[in-house]
Amino acid sequence: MSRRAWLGQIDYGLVGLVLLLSGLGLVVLWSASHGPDGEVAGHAARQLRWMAVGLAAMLVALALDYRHLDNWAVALYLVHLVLLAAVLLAGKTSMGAQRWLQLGGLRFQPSEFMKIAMAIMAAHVLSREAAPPPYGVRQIWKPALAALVPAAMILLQPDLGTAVLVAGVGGAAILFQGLRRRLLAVLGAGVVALAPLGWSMLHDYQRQRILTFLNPERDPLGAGYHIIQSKIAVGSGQVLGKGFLQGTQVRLQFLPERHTDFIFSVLGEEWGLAGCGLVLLLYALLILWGIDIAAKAKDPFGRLLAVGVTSILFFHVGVNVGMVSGLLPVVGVPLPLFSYGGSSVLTTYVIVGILLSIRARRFSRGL
Amino acid sequence: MIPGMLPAPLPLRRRFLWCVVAVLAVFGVLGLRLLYLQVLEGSRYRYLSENNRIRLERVLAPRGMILDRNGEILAEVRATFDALVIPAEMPRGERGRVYAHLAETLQMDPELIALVVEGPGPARWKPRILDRRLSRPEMARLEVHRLELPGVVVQATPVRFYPFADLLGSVLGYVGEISGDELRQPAYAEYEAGDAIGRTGLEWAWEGELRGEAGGQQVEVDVRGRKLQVLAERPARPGRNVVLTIDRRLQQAAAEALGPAAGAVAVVSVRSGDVLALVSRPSFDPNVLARGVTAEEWAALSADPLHPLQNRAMQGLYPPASTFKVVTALAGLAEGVVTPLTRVFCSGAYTFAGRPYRCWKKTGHGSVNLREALIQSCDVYFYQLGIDLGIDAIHRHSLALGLGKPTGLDMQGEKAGLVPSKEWKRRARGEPWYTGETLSVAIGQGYLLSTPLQIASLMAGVAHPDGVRMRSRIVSGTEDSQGRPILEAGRREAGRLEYRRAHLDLVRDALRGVVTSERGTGRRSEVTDFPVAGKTGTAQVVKLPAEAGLPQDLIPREHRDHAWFACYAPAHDPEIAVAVLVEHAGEGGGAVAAPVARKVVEAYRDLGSQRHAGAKAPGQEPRL
Repeated sequence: MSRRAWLGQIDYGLVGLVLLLSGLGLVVLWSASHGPDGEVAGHAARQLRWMAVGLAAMLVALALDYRHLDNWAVALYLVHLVLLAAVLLAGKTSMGAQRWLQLGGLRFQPSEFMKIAMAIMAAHVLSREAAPPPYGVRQIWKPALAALVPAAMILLQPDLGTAVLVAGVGGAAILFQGLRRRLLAVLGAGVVALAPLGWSMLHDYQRQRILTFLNPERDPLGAGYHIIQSKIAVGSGQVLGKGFLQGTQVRLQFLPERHTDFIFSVLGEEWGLAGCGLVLLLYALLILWGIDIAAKAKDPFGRLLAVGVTSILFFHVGVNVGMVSGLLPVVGVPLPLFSYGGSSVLTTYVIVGILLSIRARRFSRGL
Repeated sequence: MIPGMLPAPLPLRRRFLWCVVAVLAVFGVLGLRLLYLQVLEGSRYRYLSENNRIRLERVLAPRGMILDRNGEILAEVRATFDALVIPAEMPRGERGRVYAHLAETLQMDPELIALVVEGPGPARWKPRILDRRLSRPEMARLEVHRLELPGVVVQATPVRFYPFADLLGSVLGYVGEISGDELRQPAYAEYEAGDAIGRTGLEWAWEGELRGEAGGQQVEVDVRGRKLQVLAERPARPGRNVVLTIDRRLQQAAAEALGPAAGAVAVVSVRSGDVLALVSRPSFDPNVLARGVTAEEWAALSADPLHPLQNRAMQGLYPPASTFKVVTALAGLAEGVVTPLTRVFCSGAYTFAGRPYRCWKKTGHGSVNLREALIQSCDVYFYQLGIDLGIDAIHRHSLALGLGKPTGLDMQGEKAGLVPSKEWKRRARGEPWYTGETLSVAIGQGYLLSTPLQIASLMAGVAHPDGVRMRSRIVSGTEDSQGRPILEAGRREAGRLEYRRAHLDLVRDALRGVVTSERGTGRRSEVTDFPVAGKTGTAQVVKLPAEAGLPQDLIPREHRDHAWFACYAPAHDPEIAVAVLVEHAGEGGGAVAAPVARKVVEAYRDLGSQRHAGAKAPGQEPRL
C-alpha cells in the first residue's frame, strides 16, 4: 500500500455523524444564549469559530499516523503533568479554583487535554505488557499509578469532575484488558472501604454538592436550585417539547449555566423526549462506532488507544446527562459538541481525529 | 514453557462484547430516566414550569470602607437613585401625558423618553433605565407625582464615594464596572455584569477583602416574570473595611504645604514604619472615575503630561541628589575610608582624569571635614569619598540602607528604584563601569533612582534610635462591617543598620547642623519646639551644555532641577521622617522643599494625636 493510501480510507460515516451532532449542538446553544436580555448572546458564533479550529485539529490528527503517538506517549504525558503543576503553582495568586493557564494571549485548560494524553499513555503502557490478561496487581500498578497522579493533581485545582474522568480513562483501558476476578473483588471492596476517606478529602463545597444531590431541598439557593430547575426544564418538555426558542425555563432565566453544563436541559425543554432520544441515539452510535474502530484496529496500541479516547466521550455524555436529569451530583462536566467552551470542543474533535487516523490505517503495515 | 500452557487470554471478541453491553446499559438507564421525567412525570413538570414562580436573584454585598488611622472615612458607598420605567406597566392610552409629565420632572427630551419606553430592548416587563443619579428635587417631584406616573420606579444604586476627592487619588485608586472581557475569565467567576471592581491603588490591591460576597434571594414571580415576594434569602456578606496607617489630617496638611506644585511628600513613622501621609500632586478625583468617564475624558487623564494617575511618592523615580550623601557618608565611615577628622579642600571643582567636576558652590567651601561637608552639602568632599570607596561599596551600603528595592508597602506598584553597580552596568548596558561615573553616584546623581518613600524610609532608618529599618506599611488591618478587627497587619523589621553608634551619631549631628548651622542648607525647615534634622537635595534633570550655568528661570520648566528635602523630627527623639520632592522647582531643595517639610512637621506637632496612636500600638516596636 502506498504511503498516502489512508487518504482513501477516511471514514465519512463518522465524520458525518460528528458534523450532525455539532450542528444540533449549535442550534441548541443558539437557543440557550437567546435570553431576553441577551447577556450570553454571541456564544453560538464563538462556538462556531471553535468548531472550525476543531475541524482543522481533527484533520491534523487524521493525517498524523497514530502509531507516532506510541513513541510520544511518555513525553506527552510528562508535558501535561508539568502543565498541571504549573497550573497549581500559578494558581496560588488567583482567587478560587485555578484551572487555566495563560500563555501569551492564549488561555487553555491543561486538565482538558490531559484526558487525551492519559488515553495515549494507558495504551502505550498496556500494549507493552507481555503477560496475557486477565491481569493481576503486577501488571496494573504502573498504568494505575499513571492515571492516579494526574487525577490527584486535578483534584487539587480543585476540579472533581475532570479528576474522576482522567482516572476513569485509565481505569477503562485497564478494565478493557481484563482483571482477575479476585483482584476485581478486592478493588471493589477497597473502593467501598475507602469511600469515607475520600469523603474527608473532598472540598467542603464538593461535599455540599453531593449532600444537595441526595436532598435538593437542603440548598434551594445553590446547587439544589440547579437540579430542581433542570429537572423541571427537562420534564416539562414532555414528548415533543415546547418548540425551538419556546422554553420558558430558558427564556425567563430560571435555569442558570444553561449554555454550558446545563445545555441538555434546554434540549429537553424545547425538543422533548424526541430531541433527547435522537441526540442520545446519535451519541450511542458515535461511541459504538469508536468501539468498532477499536475492534478492527490492526495493533494492540491502536486498539487500546481507540478504547481510551472513546471512553472519554462515553464518560462525558453519561455524567453530563446523568447530572442534568438528576441521576448524578452536579460536578461540572460539559456535554461534548453541545456545551459552550473552546477546550471541550477542541478535545472532542481531536478524539474524533485520532479515531479516524486509526480507522484509516487499519490495513497499512509498519511505520 | 509452551505458550499453549498459559491460561488463555480472555478472547478479544468477549472483551468488546462487554464494552457494548456497558454502553447500552448506561444509555438505557439515561433513556429510562428521560422517559420517567418527560413521559411519566411530564405533565407534573409541565405544570410546575408553567407555574414556575420561584427565581433566584442576587443580592449585592456593600463594598467595605477604607478608613484612615483615626477611623475617618476615606472611601464608602453611597446610594444614588435612578429612575426606571417598566414599559408593560404604562397604559398605552396614557403614554403621551406621562411622557410630557416625566419630561418636565426630569428635564428630559420627551422624544428620548418615548424611545426608551417604546424602543427595542429586553422584555417589556423588565425595568429600563430612564435617568441615572437623580437629584434630591427630582426624586421629591417623582415621589409626589407617583400616582400620575404609572410604570415609573425609583431604584437605589450603590456608588463608591470618596469624601476627600483628590486628596488620596492614587493611593486609594478607584473602582469601575467589570468589563465583558473580564467576565469571560474564570478568575472573575464570582462577578456579574454591572459589578464594581477595584481598578488601581488600594481598591485594586485589597479587592478580595473590600468586595464581600453576594447573597441570594428566592423570589416569587408572576407569569410575566415580575417579582411578587421574597421566599428565602441568603444574606450577602458585606465587604471588609480596610484601615490605613494614613492620618487624613496630616495628609491634608502635607498636600496643602506642597501647594500647586507637582511633587510628592512621604511621611513615615520612625518606630513603626507606618506611612502617615503619602501625597502625590497633581492628583485626580476618583469620584469622577467611579461615576464612569467617557473615552475622551479617560484619554485626557491618562495622557496628561503631568501624570495625575501616577503615585509619585511610591512610583516616581528621581535621582536622590544630595540626600544620598547620608549613604555615602555612612559608607565612608564604616569602610574606614574617612574618619570624622579627615579634611578635603574644596576649591569649587574636583579634577578627575583631567576633567573638572564642579561643586554647587563655585567659590568653593575651603577645607571641610565630613560633618561640615554634609552641613554645607559640599560636592567635592563626596567626589573624593566616592573615588576612595568605589562603586561597589556604595552599592552595598545603599542596599543595606533600603535603597534599590521596594520599602514593602502592602499595595502593588511600588517601584524599586535603581542603585548601580559594576555588575548591573555590564548586565543592563553591556558596558564596563567608568570611575568617573562613581563621582556622580557619590552625590546622588548618575544612574541612581529612588522614590520619595524610599528616601523617607532611609531617613527613618538613620533616625531610629536602635538603627532598625522598618518595613513600611500603609494598611494596618481589616475589620468587618461592624468594625470588629479581622486581620491586623504586623509591623516587621526590614533590617538593622550595621553602623557604629559613633558613626550614626556623627551623621545625625550633621543632619541637625544642616538645619541649625549658620551655613546649613536646610535652615528653612526649622520648627519651634520640634527640632528638625535633615538633608537638602537638588536633582539635576538634564545636562544640556547650552543651559549650563544659566539661571533656572531661563531654562524650560521640564529641564529645571527637582528640589528635595528629607528629614526627621524631633531630632533628639525621632518620631517621623519626611521626604519632600518638588518637581522642576527651579530652585534648590533648601529654598523650595525645606519650607514644605517644615509645614508638614508643624502640622504633625500640632496634631499630636497620632503620637499617642503610635505609642499604644502593640509592642513589636523596640523602645529605648
